Amino acid sequence: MLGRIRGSEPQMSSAYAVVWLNLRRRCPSLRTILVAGASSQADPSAAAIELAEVAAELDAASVLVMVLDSAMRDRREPDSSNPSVTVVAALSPRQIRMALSDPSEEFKFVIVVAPAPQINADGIAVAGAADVAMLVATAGRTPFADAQLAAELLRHAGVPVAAALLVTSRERRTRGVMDARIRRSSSRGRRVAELRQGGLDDEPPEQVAVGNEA
Amino acid sequence: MTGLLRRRRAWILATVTACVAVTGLISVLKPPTYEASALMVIDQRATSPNSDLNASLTTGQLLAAHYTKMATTSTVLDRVCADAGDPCTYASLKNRVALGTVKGTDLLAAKVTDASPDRAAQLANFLAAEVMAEERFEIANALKPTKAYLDGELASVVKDMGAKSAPAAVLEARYNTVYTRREAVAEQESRLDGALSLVEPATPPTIPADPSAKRYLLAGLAIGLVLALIIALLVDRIDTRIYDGDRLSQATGAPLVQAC
Repeated sequence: MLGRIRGSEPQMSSAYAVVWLNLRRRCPSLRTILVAGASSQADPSAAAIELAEVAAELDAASVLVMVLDSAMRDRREPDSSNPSVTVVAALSPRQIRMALSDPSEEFKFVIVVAPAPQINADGIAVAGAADVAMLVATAGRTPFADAQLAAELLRHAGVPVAAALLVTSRERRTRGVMDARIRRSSSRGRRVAELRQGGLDDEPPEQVAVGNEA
Repeated sequence: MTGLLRRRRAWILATVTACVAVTGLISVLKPPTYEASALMVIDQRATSPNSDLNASLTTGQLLAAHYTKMATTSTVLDRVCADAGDPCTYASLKNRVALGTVKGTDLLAAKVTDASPDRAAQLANFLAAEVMAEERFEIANALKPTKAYLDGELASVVKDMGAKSAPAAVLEARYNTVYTRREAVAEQESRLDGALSLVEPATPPTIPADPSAKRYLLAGLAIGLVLALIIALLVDRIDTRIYDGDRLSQATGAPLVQAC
């Protein structure tokens, strides 16, 4: 049985809408957002999906969510019920960089989900391609020092931390284990197909651990 | 404060539960002790014969304080132990006896605690009896010099009357004066002797005075709440995890912080 992360709390959407509208106002040319965990305790996937769904609704646009393999906590597969949101999971930094280096009109916004930069360097490896970064912390779990370090590392990687989101641990409800693979979403665009093709045939995701978890 | 209580609810709950459990355990494991009371009354009319109510009350209060102190003296407790027999010593008894006024009344309660309800009642009755005996002894002692003096005076007057050393009318008047004073002293002694009397002897209690499960649990709850609050504050001070948007904003320096 596959574990699924699904952004489905209506009352939380308003918080994501506030974040999204603020990001759009601050960065009118915003296209790529890096959503990273602030610590190993934080799970950025659910927040990224919520943000993508809100973006798709508010901007009436298609959104691509690319999840680094290293960001898939417990091998849980992100999912979205919104047809405008396409989720591609279990990608390597190289695949994401390649996808981002070739701008496509198919998706107006791209959200890259990365683990905490001090836990895994994958996020830093793709940070340069993002316009802004958003850190996701879990209330009562994320240590102050970890969030501080995550923000510093992202800034050093050249991406401004434009927003931070504090989620409650209740959001992390789903449990399940899956093999690293790409979910077949309804989107059949050329870029996604290429990405999938590359993802399926690509070598295992590169992982470089940096720093220690607090 | 609400945030603190919410964040540390697990600590608070655990501390309160632990305190209540410990006090509950103590109330179960602690050997029961029984408290028996013998009631005595202070006759304020006897101690203050005038009709001044305030003077009577003040005298009564002073006497109550005097008796309270007297009840724990070695003189009285040694006699109680002598009445009760072994095993009883002043040292073992002094922390288990108390003499105090019954609130709102002119009654004095002689209280004794013991592991046995019968023994507690017996000791309380002995204590009341010895306090009253000591009181009578004190009164007699206090009036003894006056009585001795007046008795001597009377004897002297009688002797003078026999020897006709003075006019009969003068000696008769002197005799009457001394006799009247002697009568007054005797009347005072009699009145004071009845100032403290037993109104209700102690009976063996059926319910232990300690431990009281209800009182112990309430104390545990109160201590637990205070302790829990202190622990919650300490834990909150040393805990570096992020609980609110302000702290996240400080940590990340992000211009926009949203909590959901």
